[in-house]
Amino acid sequence: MTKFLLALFLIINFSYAQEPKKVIARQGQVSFFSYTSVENIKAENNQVLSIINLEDGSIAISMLMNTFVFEKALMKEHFNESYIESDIYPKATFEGNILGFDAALEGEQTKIIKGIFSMHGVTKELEIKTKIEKSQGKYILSGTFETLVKYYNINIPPLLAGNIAKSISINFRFEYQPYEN
Amino acid sequence: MKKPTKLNKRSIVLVQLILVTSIIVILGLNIFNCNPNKMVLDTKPVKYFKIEKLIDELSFEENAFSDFKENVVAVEGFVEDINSLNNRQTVILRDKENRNTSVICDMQKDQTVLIDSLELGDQVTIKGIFKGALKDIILLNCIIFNQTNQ
Repeated sequence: MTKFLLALFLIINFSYAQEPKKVIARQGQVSFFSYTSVENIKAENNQVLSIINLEDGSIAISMLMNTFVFEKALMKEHFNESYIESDIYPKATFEGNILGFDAALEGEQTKIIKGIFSMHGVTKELEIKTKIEKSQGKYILSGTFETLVKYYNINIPPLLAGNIAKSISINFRFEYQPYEN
Repeated sequence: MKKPTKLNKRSIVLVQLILVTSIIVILGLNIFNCNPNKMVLDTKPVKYFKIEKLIDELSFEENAFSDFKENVVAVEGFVEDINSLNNRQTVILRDKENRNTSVICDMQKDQTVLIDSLELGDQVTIKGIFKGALKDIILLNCIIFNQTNQ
């Protein structure tokens, strides 16, 4: 009996020791859509970096603006050179917290992520409803939200104003793995 | 010397018009249909890296790569991971010491057969457009680089 209890104690301790404190997504996906009667613009970035600290629920996201992939080369050129100015502002970042996050909970939970998003030299507080799935130690975060172009100091020439929606729809999906740094 | 006839004049104008139109069309196609996949296939790398050197340079200076950003580079490293996350084919390269930084190579669709022949730990050289670095270095529109495709 003593041996059994000792073995059980060791197994429990070992499994706790294996729980990572941080998880990382190196190939997170962020895509955006602009729908207008003139044209639809869609782009996706498949190399978005994100790290979650499972102990306090803090989350950080970083992406290169020039890794968005567009259907047409001209859209990409306008995006990088005229609107986002990716040479001057190469990255967009988000730092925040998953409110009420229970990292131990297996299955699905829906939480609000609140934090500061920085892009094109503008910082803005965001609250994003996010689905969190945990299965076999892996976490997947996904969701959709809308934001307005005017918030980010992006100048669109009047001639092209009809081609770009005022409100942009953004989708995200991150698959996290244990992270030892 | 013979004076140009009305017909000759017309021919000259027509030829000039065709030439100008052709130039405009060619330039237009180059500007609007600049295909990054083709660019990687056709362009000689501006820089050839051993992965250790690339990671070392990144750790010293974040903007070390500004000279060849958006240019085609070739990186030689060891296959750390092959995945199809986000419905894309990605090969991740690491160095011998397996340090924390890797090179994420977003592969072109026609590379499937070559990717299938790779195994974890294989030494390989990948050519792609250098985009920059977050925690890892990112290359897009990548192809497996060998003597026959360059």
